[in-house]
Formats: sequence, C-alpha cells, structure tokens
Amino acid sequence: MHKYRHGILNIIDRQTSDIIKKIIFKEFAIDLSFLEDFIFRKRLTYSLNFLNITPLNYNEQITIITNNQLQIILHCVFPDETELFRDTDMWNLLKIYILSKINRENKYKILFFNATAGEDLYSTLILLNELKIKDNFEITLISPSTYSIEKIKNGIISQPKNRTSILNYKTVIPKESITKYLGYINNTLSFDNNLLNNINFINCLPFDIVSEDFDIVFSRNKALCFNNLNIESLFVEISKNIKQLGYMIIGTNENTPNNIINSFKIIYNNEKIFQKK
Amino acid sequence: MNNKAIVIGGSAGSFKIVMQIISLLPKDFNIPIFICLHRLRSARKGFTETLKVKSSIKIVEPNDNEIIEPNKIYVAPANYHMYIIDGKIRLSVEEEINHSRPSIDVTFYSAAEYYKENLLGIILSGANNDGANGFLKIKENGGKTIAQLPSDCEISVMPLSCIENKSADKILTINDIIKNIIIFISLNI
Repeated sequence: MHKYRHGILNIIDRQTSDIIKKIIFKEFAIDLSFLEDFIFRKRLTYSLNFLNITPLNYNEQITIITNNQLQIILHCVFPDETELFRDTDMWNLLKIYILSKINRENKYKILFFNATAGEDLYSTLILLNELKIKDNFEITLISPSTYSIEKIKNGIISQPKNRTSILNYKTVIPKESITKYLGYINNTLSFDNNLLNNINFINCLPFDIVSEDFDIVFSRNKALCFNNLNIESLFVEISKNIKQLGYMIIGTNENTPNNIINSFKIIYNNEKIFQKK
Repeated sequence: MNNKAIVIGGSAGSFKIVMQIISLLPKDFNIPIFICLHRLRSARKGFTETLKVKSSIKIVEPNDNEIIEPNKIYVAPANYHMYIIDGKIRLSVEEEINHSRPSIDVTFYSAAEYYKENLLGIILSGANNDGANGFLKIKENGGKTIAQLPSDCEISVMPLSCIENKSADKILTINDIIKNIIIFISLNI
C-alpha cells in the first residue's frame, strides 16, 4: 500500500492540511490554527498514515473523518513521546525539595496539562507512592484526545522497549526495583493501573483549561507544537490555574514568555521549576 | 533570501571531529552553525561544555523558539528533535526517527527548507543511516553537501548511506572538510 513516508519526508502540503483543519473545524468545531504549521503538517502526515488514509484514498476518506479518527489525529498532533522520569535532575529536585516537604496534614492538587502520554503522570505517582503521600494529592489530567486518555488510563507505556525509563528510575529511586510498578497486560508492558484509580481524567483542548487552583502544574514540553502567536496565550492560561506559591514545571528546553515569567519566581532554572509569586 | 548556514550531523566517532572543526573556526565566522549529534538521552550535562573547551565561540543548546543568530553554534539538546523554522529553533519531543532523538534527518530537512541553496551540509562518522534523507533534501534544495571519507571514519555507515543515495557532492577527509568550511564561511564575509 502506498503511504506517506513515515517521519519527516514528504509531509503533506499546506493546502491539504488547511483542508483537513477546515473539515475538523466544520465537523467538530475544533480550531487547530494555534499549532505551528510545519510541525502540524508533519504530525498530521503521521496520523493519516496511522489511519491508513493514504494519498490514494485521501479524497474519499478525508471528508468522512469519524470522531474516533479525529481522536487519533488529536492524539498525534500533540506529540508527547517520552519516558519515565525524563530529565532525572528535575524529578530529584521535585522529590527532595518539594514533595518531601509537604505538610502531610494538608491536601494538594496536581494538574497534568494537555497530556497525550502518561509518563509524567506515572513518574509522579511512583514518587508519591514511594514517599507515602499519595493520599495527600488530588490529581487531574487533561488531554485533548479521548484516545490518549484511554491509553493513559490503561497504563500504556509509550516506548516499552526503551531502557531509558529503567535507567532514569534507578537514578531517582535507587533502592527500589521498577518491576513493582510495571507489568504485562496482553503482552504489552504497562504501568500498574491500581495506582491510576482516583485520577480525574478530563477531555478538553489546551485553551479550554479547567479553571481551578492547582499546587503543581506539569506542562512539560507542551508549548513546543504551538505557533509563536499562541505560546504566550497558552502560558497565560496555564498560569491562571496555579495558586499563589504553587509550582509550574515546564520542559528543560522550553522558553517562557517574559511577561509570564515575571509573575513567577525561578526556583530551579536549569530544570525549569517556577513558583508563582 | 536567508543568509548562509552550516549544518553538521554525526554519531559514533564524530564528537572529536566536531571538536576539531570548532577549534579551527575563525573567531568571526558570521553565520549560524547547527550541530546534531546522536547522544545519550539522559546526558544533559557535559556535552556542550566539552565542546566549548577548545573554543571561545558561543556554543549553546538552544531553548525552543530561540532566534537564530550568526556567529553562534547551536547543538541539538539531548532528547529533543531540533528544527529550523522561520529563523528560529523549534524543538520537539516526537517519536524517535531512525532510532534517534535528536534525529539528524529532522535538522537537515528543516534547515534545507529554510536556507535552500545557502546551506552547507556535512555528514560525519556514524553507525546508522540517520541524515541520509535529510542530506538528499539539502541537495534537492540547492545546498552543498560533504560526506566524510568513509575510510577516514571510525564508523562509516552514516556517510556511506549518503554516498549510496547520491546526495553527497563531495567525499572528503576531515582536513579537507575543514578547508571547505573555511572557504564557505569566508565567501560570506
């Protein structure tokens, strides 16, 4: 079967991606124009491949995208491919200087923003479990795609063959084996879904963020696929959801707009942990 | 028209060559240089610092959305793909390409789209074919391409892939690659 080539080559042209954007807008009232064009076209190519919508059958299929197909497209256009405890220094700082120092009499709220993979959530749950403070936290995960939510609810690991997760785990939690958190479900390596009980999963797009006061917001590498015009608006929205003295954690190589960063105190610059003033 | 740039890709056996190239660059080379080397995902510290040892040139692992400046070397950060889009660096955490993140193909491809004929691409020693498709893209967009002479490489798979797909304009020893870089730069000054 002829396919768009996987990866970055022969990505669909702007005209085609605009048509698909319009169809998604018309059929589902979802406006994806906030995404960076080149990366969006590449991700769209990837998702069309996944759906077997090829250049040969594109005309017939693209106009009848189903909601299930749309959810897969939304899963793909917000790339979140990573591993457990990505950027181990950040997780160690979080563990030692923030999570270990919470008042165990209090309740706290964590938000995982725009997630299409579960690794940051799983890593946090492991830390909370190891520190025996899981019950002190109410966790919300918002995702643009119901397809992503199902995968995360089922503890799906994005890269089951990647050994980096194990190496990272050993760096953050040297004394305990990762095996107690992982198991095989239908021959697929998965995260222990007993720990995934009591998570609030919410399906919404990035600019429809639930408005609550969170103590910690994880938005690691989420702005990378946004176009320049919308990155600032995105951080404004994220910032609104963080309570005073709450923490915002972003990707280690993400840039934060100046006007946003002014309302935060930089706690760990290299690891991009900020505290709201 | 966009100004000139150089993009260098490599994997196993390329690090010391890149150090050699950097140490021989003129102080004011006046163009941006992008380097995409395969590296350990978790090794965020020490890589760029080591490259800086023999040079006073500005060498950075860019943040997302950083504006590209001349006279600066941009090294793809560990565990991120590095794109060149509209005069800025954009990073991404998409799937690995050719088992790699950063992928050389990603950086070559996007640099080729942006710099067109004003780009010099260089592929160095390495153990897989990442970069070969991007090298072809540089050539298709009118850029110049140089592959390290396979017999000169610690591991020759990477330049051989570019030679096999006929995307390498020149196949040179490292000394000749450096001479070509200097000529490419000096034509800009």
